[in-house]
Amino acid sequence: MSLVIDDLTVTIAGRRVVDGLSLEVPDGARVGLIGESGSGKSMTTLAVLGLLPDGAQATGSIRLDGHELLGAPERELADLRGRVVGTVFQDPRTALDPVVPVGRQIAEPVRLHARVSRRDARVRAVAAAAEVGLPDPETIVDLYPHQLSGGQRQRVGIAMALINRPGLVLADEPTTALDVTTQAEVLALFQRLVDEQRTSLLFVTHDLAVLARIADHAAVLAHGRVVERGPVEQLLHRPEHAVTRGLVEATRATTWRAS
Amino acid sequence: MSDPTTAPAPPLLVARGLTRTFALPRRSPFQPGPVRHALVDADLEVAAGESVALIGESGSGKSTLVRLLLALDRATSGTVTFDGRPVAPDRASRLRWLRRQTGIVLQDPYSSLDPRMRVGDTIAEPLRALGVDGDHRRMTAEMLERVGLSAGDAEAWPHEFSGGQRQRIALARALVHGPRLLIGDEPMSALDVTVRAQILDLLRELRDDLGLSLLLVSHDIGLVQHLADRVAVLREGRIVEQGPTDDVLRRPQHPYTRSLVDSVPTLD
Repeated sequence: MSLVIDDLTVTIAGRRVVDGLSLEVPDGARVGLIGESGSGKSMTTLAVLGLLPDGAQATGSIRLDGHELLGAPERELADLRGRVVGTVFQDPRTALDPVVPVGRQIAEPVRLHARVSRRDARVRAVAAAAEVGLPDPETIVDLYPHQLSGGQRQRVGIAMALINRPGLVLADEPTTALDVTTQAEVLALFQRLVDEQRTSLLFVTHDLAVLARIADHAAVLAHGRVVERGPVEQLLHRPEHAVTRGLVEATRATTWRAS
Repeated sequence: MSDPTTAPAPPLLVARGLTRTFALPRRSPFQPGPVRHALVDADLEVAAGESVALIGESGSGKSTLVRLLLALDRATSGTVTFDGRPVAPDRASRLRWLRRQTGIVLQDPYSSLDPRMRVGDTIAEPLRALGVDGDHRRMTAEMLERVGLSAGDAEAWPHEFSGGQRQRIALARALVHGPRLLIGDEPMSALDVTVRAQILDLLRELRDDLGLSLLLVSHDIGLVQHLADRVAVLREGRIVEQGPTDDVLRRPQHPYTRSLVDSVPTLD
């Protein structure tokens, strides 16, 4: 499934938080969107999902397999979310409902989009839990989020995002809140599932080192605009724009160097 | 006999055999309840002017250890000394000497600063609380400039500052009373990467200018590599490995350290 964002501008209270952004995620590609706080990354994903905050105005075009999403009726967008477009957010602690067993949350996108019995939904949840490597899936689906570790909660988030086999997954800093070993496992899981399901992926992050592990191409965002785009290798080793260079230098100065 | 240029600096902070267990709820009224070992037999030293990092994942016992080192919690067994004096929980007035010698910076500069206090008052608070002599306004102004802000920022409110600037304010507050040991609990993890690089430089500069000892608690291997002289690796309450940073991170002896290092994403 392809996503084409063309000249997207999002204005909130007279301020342009996204300013003429164009970006393409070809079918089956893994594309990164990188930038620091306030660069417009998250507003871009919210615009794709039709979940911009009240009072935000968006112009331009967002096409999913050629179908225009911007200005589409809410009913249509709601039908796409969780079925055709899966989403994984940063903090699995706040993204999950604390009073609902995780199995029911994993299966919620199924129940929302199709008539499924409770028993069938549970079977789907157990299968999805197993697929994302949650231990003892038959038991874990009956637990509540607080009974799971941070890494397990993020696996629940991924299971939820992928249960309907969406054509596009939007991941917004999905590993930022995790410990390093858990982060590595979750990234590997992401990679495997996206490959197996041939899902297109838009991966939003501020972490170049994480980006280098997951994406082939990326766009660098600053002040709501794409300032540079290209293969991740090229951005890391031959950055052209000052913003990209600054990000790469700062990353080199603060991240682990194995040699 | 000893050569003063190579003799190790005397240890400032020494922990010996620190153990902390927590009683969990009983499962039966007739049997003793289960016990959780948050920290087991930990030995740690921080020399004057030395930077030591504690690394380990969530739940490894890093915070428990720091609380014991700062007399915020009582060890089940083991001892802590600071500059040769025993450290244990006590009335605030009896711990003032320890508080004057230590400063702490926490992870999140959004929740660690009181939104209803002017920046200058927040920074000067330790001076008042610890009964430090001198012109507090002048000391606050100097500290603000030292962390790269301006003396005039004392009149502003926390919400007027970005995350990186707030972390500078938090650093000023941690250092204004002239401590010898600065403790950083994940001091960078809430910051953007370019801001992290700036705060890292500032930390290095302050450490060198003020001759601080640094105890850095982090799961950020990159930060540790760039800042610490020595590293202790904590796992499930035990220090599984410790030594000079380069030795431990580049030639890890313990399989856990190796898995930790191998998990870190790099640019290369």
